[in-house]
Amino acid sequence: MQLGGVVQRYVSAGWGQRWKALLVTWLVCIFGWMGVQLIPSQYESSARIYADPDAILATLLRGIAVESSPAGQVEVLQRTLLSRPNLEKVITRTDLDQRVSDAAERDLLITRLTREIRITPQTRGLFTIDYRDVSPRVARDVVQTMLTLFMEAAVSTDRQQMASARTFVAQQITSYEVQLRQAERRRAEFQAQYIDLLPSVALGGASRLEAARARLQQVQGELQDARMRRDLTQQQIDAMPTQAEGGGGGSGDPRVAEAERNLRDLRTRFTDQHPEVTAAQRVVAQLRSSGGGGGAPRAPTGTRTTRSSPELEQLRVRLVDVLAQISSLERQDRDGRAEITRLDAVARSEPEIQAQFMNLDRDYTVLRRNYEELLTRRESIQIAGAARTNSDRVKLEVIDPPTMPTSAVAPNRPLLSAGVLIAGIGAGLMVAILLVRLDGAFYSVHDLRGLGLPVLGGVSAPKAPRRLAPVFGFAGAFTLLFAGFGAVLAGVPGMLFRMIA
Amino acid sequence: MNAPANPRAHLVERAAEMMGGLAGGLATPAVPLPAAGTTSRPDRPAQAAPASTRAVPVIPRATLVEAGLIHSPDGPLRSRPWEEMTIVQHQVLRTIRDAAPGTGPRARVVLVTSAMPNEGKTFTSLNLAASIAISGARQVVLVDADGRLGGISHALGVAGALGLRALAHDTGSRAAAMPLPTAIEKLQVLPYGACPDGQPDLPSGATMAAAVLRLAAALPDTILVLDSPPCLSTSEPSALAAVSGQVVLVVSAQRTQRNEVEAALDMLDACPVLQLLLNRVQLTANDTFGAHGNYGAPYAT
Repeated sequence: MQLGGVVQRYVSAGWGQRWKALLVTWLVCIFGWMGVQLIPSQYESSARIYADPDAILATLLRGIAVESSPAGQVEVLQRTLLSRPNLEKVITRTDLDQRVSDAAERDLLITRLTREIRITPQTRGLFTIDYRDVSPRVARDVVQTMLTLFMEAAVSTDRQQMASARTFVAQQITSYEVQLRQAERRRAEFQAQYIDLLPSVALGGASRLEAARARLQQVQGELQDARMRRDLTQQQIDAMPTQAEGGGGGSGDPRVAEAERNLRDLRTRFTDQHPEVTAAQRVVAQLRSSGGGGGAPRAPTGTRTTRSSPELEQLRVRLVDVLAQISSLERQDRDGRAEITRLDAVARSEPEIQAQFMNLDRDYTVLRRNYEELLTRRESIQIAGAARTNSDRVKLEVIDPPTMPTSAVAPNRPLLSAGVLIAGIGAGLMVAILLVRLDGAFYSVHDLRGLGLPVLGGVSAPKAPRRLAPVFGFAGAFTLLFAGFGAVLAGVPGMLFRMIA
Repeated sequence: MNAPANPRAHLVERAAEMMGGLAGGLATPAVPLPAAGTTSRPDRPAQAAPASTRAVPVIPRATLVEAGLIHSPDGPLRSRPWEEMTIVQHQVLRTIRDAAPGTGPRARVVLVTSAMPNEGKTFTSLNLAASIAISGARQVVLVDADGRLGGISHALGVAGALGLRALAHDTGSRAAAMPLPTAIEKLQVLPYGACPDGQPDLPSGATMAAAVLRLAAALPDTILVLDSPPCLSTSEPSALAAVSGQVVLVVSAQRTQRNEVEAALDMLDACPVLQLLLNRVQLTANDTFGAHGNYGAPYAT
């Protein structure tokens, strides 16, 4: 059979089942609409708050501790806020208390609250708290209570965090102190052990070995200088005699000359009667008179004394000085060499010492730097703690306080009613199709041939006059369905319920 | 047998038409029939008396139309149901013609039945018999095997006449004389008949079957169309099926269920030729007969 025939058959057979189908449609619609009306209305209350997400720990321990993200804070907040004790508080503070009678119901209510109270971050630091309930007052109360709890929790966690930060820093300081002491002691011991090899502050950062080497070098240079000076002085002394004989007669006793020069100076300033002048005259006279007397002790060496001039004497003195210096420097040189040899031996025996010391020193330096940083942080925590008590209000702010909802947000009754209408019509169609399918009647000769027996043919029914009454009746009943839908949309059932109640 | 029956029916029909046309009633005078009977069959005076007591049973065409005949001379010459019925009739005749040679009179017995009541058995049997008769192929006797109040006998106003029941009880009665003539020349009607005194109300299926067989044997070359009660309500059809050459099971379209039809077919198992006829077809698909409009009748001149 062709598709058209099948459709024709279904339409024709379905038309026969139209009243049953319409009855089913009506039943589905009526019960569905009643059900939709009976779904309790849900009211939603919401509040918006601003909470500074920069928690205290994040500001204080930045760089030392891991920074906690705002999202993490929200989660912590949410978890702590929707904890069982908090929800118990919510239940006792609102009318929800009256809805539960035993512990099991209470448990159920708490799980429901956990699921249905929504804390959602909108932007940074902006949170909304939403709750839906069948009673607008309860919805508002729950959100209000949550808000209060949120404020309490935020403030208390802030304080807790402050206290924990303080103890944390204190602990760190103590531990760093111990470590620092140990490092210091180790370093000092090491230094004492290898004092010779380690650079010291006294030596300008150089090690003792280096210092000894430098000194030795200096000593050796000085020694060389002294030797050269000695040689030079000796040459001068050797060259001296010829020159000294020539110039020695004219001068006389140097002391006398000295005294005379002194006298002349005095005379320029004072008169002859001045006691100092007289005294100087006396000295000069004395020296002149003693010139013969003075020459007497020099008489035995007369031949040489006649050649020895003051310059020669001077050179000789200098030569002696230089010689003494040389011997001293030579001793120093020896000492220095011995010292270097000794230090070299020590350094060669302990090649790692420098590196070890560097390590120790570095550890110490790091520890000390951290320790000092912690000390400054402790100060800043104390200052921040003092500031925090005043700045709590800035950190938490209610932007939108929870309002009493006036209109229901759920269920969407018009949509559900339309769905019921569609479902009803669909059910009617389904019933019609099902009845047609279950119907074993024969609609055409073709159907009858399915029995496998010869079919003589079909005799048409006499053409019934086209009667419009059943069509109009059915159309009317079907239109009434839409009228019912319109009444449901217009809220007639609600009015009826109110009238009954 | 055929020759004497024909002129009688002819005369009776004509007389009835005249009477009906003049008086407009069923009160046909008993005078012309005995006259006709005596003139046509003077050799059988004994039989003339019972025939005359049957109160001039020439059934007029109007009564036939009232009983459900769909073909009438003043109606359209071609009507769709009538064309459809003609096709059915052709097939029935073909089956009779093609029957095995040894079948005997049984081959001429056509049992019209249905699964449920009110499916159109009477309509089908009346029209089928009329169609065969009008086409002139054979002599037809429409046998009312139902006897229900409001059945064909009642509809034709012959419920009180002797019929099949009498034939079943009185094996000695003359079967050939019992069918009543109608306005259609070759169509006769055998009513269910009144209950003879002292006999049980309902003849058994077997006796009825025997009566039918007797009738078939008594009227050679005549087709018996049996209008029987529904299969799933009574036991007669299964008994009658055993003596029928073919069964036409009428199925009412859009009403009778497949399982009912199957159950009915089980009841009729005794007949070797089972055929189906869909009645009251409302759905017209383009592959069904007559779907393409009224062809129109040939011009009559």
